[in-house]
Amino acid sequence: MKAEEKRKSLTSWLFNPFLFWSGEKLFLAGVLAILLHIPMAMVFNIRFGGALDMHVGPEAPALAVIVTDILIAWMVMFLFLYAAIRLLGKTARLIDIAGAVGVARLPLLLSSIPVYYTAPDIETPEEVLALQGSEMGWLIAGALLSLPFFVWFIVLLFNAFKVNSNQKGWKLGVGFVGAIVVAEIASLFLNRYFTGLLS
Amino acid sequence: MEPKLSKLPVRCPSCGSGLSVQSLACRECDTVVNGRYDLPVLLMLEKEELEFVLRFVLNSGSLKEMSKEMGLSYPTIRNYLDDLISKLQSLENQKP
Repeated sequence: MKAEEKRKSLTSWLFNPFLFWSGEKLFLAGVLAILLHIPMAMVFNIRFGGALDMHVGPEAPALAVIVTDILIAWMVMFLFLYAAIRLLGKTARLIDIAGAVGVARLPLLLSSIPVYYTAPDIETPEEVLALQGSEMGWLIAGALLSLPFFVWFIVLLFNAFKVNSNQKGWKLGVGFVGAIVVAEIASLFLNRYFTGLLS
Repeated sequence: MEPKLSKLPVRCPSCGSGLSVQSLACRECDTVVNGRYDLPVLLMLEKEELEFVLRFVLNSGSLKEMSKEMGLSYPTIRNYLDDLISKLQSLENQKP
């Protein structure tokens, strides 16, 4: 099988490990990736406030906020991808999708490092407009450095959806885009509600 | 050097229609039987697909076992099987 030959390719392991990896092993790797968000958020002052979000703040969020953020971001994404697969008339195992979404978040986690070191000391989006000179330069550099990691994250999510849904053509594209957009909106609302309860 | 086994042609190279078997020969005495025999659907599959079917049967239809044996994920094996089922259904429908 062609997929067997792909085992030898580093590109396949980096961008589509779901061809070879599933079940309990993938789920465990996904859970470990999710747990890794906690120390990373504490060290690099990050908030994962939505299914596709990563923001660096002036100080580390509270542990309860970090845990709420990451649980919502992870669970909402894998539940909506699973729901999209079922809506498209296919069957899939929730354990595979949950594990895959956890692993897919690793590049997003890595992107927090360049963003942490380049982000200027601002708290609100309005302050971005007031940035001048080197501060604006660093902000743009951080955004450019984190972009490849974000693209990597989306490619991994897409391949997780593709492998688990076995969809092709427009159903694959529409199903994936629809699922991640709805997951992002739902996660933002849920995040606002639950972190509101904590404060 | 052993002669290379040719791939069984299932489509007519001239018009693209499905081929049938017209002649069978005995390897021992060279007796030739002529007639018109339709190819079984399984023989119309590619070599790689036939190997998959063989592995599937040898593993008692366990996709989990096949996944371990082939070093591929469970969904990858399931997708391959789903695609094979679609192909077999389409070949069945094309039969005269």
